Amino acid sequence: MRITTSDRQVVVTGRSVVSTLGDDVTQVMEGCYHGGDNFTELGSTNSSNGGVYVGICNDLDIGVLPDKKVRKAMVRKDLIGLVAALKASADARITKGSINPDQFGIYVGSSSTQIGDLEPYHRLLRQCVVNSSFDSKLFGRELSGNVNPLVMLQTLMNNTLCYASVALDIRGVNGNFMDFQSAGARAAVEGFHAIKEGRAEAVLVGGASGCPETFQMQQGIDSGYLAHGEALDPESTIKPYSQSRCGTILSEGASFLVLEEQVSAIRRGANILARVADVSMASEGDFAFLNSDKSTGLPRCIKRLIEAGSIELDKLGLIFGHGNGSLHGDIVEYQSYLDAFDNQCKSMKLTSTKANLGETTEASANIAAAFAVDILNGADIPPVKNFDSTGVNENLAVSAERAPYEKSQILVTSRGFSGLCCALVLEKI
Amino acid sequence: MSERRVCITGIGIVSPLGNDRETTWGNILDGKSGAGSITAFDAETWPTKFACEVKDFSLGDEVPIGGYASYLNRATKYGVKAAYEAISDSQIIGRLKPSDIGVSLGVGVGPIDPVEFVSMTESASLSISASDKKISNSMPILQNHPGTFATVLAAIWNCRGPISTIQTACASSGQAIGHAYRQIKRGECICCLSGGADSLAAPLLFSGFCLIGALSKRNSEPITASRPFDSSRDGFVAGEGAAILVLEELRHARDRGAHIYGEVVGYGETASAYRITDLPPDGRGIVEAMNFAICESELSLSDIGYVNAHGTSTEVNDRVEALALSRVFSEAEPRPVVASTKSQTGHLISAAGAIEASFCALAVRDRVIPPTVNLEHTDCNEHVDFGVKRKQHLVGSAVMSNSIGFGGSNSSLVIRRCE
Repeated sequence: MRITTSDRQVVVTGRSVVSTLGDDVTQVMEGCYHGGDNFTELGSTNSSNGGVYVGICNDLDIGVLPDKKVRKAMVRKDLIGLVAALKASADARITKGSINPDQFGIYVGSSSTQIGDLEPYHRLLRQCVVNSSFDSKLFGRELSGNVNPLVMLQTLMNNTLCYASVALDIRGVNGNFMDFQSAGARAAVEGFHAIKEGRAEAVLVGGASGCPETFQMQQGIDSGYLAHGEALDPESTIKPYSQSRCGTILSEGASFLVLEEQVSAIRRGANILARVADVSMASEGDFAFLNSDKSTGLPRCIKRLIEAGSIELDKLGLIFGHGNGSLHGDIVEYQSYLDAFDNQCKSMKLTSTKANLGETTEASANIAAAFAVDILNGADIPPVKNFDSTGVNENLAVSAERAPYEKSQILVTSRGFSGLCCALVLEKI
Repeated sequence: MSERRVCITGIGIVSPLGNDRETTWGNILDGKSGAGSITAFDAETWPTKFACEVKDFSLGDEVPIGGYASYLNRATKYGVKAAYEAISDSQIIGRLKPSDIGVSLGVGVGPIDPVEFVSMTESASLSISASDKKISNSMPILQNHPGTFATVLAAIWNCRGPISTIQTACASSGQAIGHAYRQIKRGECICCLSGGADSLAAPLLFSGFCLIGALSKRNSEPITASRPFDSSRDGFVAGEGAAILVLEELRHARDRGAHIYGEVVGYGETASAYRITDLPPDGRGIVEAMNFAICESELSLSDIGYVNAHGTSTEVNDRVEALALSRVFSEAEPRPVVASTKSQTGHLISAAGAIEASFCALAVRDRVIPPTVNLEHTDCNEHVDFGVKRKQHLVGSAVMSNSIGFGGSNSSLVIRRCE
């Protein structure tokens, strides 16, 4: 139990992706290679000229759940997260008890509660709000007779963590991060350190994002973050890093990696897929989309990795970025790479699959990391769908075509609304 | 892990017992209760009609809130005030590069107003003709997202080190402090603002706990309702408030001559992996969190003179935690005094770990153990020393703070006197 400083290596032994294009990593990547996407118009708008779109994970594989009844005890984003966590552990061939429970941990990046799922609580609440006034006495009187106590359990924001820990007998380190788009990456950073510092032998790290609710969408529209408007064609809407980008589309999704201490993984005969060379964090010190047109956090985050020797420029050929087609974020992010590498990144490519999968917020960096693991094992680099030109600089090429990858490191980055920036370096074994 | 050590150089508190650190602490030591009839909404027809609310609160003109007021809710306003007190106390700002200052918080979902809630959720139609391209700062969803508060603190005090927010129910801010401790130890930052903010004094959140029967119904005697470890306990008392601690690398703190409350020397976090709504009867998970924290601290069991228990005043929690404490400290001589300050503050949920870690640091500073008020006759484990109803002298150099989260997350922190 004593914490030791050591050369413990952190490796990846399992991964999962639950997305709008399916829940098999290889199949989802194939979908991205072929320009697939799957967006649906959300509800109704006040315009006849077009709409607002979301990505929905259809045909969620609930067969992996140990008890189907748990579906009723959680909102959809937690269910998607739980399915992804169980799939990643299955991919790593972890079964209940195959890892010492006290040395098995879980860190999750999670979005806030999906309150739209909480009927009949809403019905009662709506009855009790009349003329912009809340009838507290009526609510108190009617509450217990009208609302199932289960609603309380559904609202827990740590449900993916809770149910996964019970299902897999995870008793070690754990945490549920709420850091917007960087939450899942934050989870991966913490899992890496827990293994490095000897507090865990294996940690499930990932993120889950649920279907956005109407009122959240309105905020995204008002800010210009979400693509919307006249004659919107969802297939060509998200244009990561493109000069002509016009906003993003929010999607459901979840992804987990199984991180393990290398010796422990070898001992149990695990299939080692990649090594996590290092991780880093920094922040902007403000909300990412409100501050200046320049990021200080992401370059600082990456420079730490370069200075630590974790990124080796002759080994690094691919950055799996956050790029979601948003008006402000993409250009700031792109410039961050130029700053971090002092414009010495002509031999690198930048990619993002959000034009295919949508902005999966808390899960996005984990999905990128899962794809990076497969690329390090021979899969091609997915192209950035709908890309035309950055209009800025050619010192960092955006990957516009499917291409093989021959180098041995991939940098995965995340820059979220909270200003938190995270970076992970994945390396070929 | 490195030789870097972590100490506490600032504390700020807004609580049902006072709107600053020393007022709260004085009232804790005097055995006062923060409980009373709910004022935040009319609870006349509710099964529980009382809570521990913050009283006479105002953010004050001195807090440099800038343009971020519209990002704050009832709970995070307490949090900003607590942060201001902690930062003023530590005098850290201006002594470090912004990138050396992190933020690590445990925050609950905000106490959203029912009228706002209905207004937001009943809108089935989206307006896509909005011309305003700026974020709608007043949107309740952003105000009430747990992750917003950390960024507000970072923006106000120019913190550009790692920032993060943890939400593991009642273990949230205990874990947040543990993560801040580790970030400083591994060199990710030199200083970290850490703690939590939460409020149950709002109908939507309060109703959830009413529904599951977790709240005390001792409506006729609110100040005696929170009775951790007492045989007549009938549920917890909802609370609200915030506490922020300034954690700092010890050498840096010493070099600048900072006042040091105590040193964080151990942290354990575990999952119970049992049931979502229940604790394992043998206390596993809690036992392991305490064992890990003690082991990391390299202290002996007898060095720990006081445990600020999670002690919620609920039937199962108190019984299981007492069993866990008896298992961990079975060979300690003397055994630590176990007390729960929730008997006075109520349960601050996501902020509970932070305010209780603050009390632990103050206990180390003043060498005193606060009482557990309302504890008359315990039905919990007989091998635990539940102390007395009045404050007493702290024997031993270290103290422990436990947090047990709904859903199975546990945290345990060890803080010792820093000579």
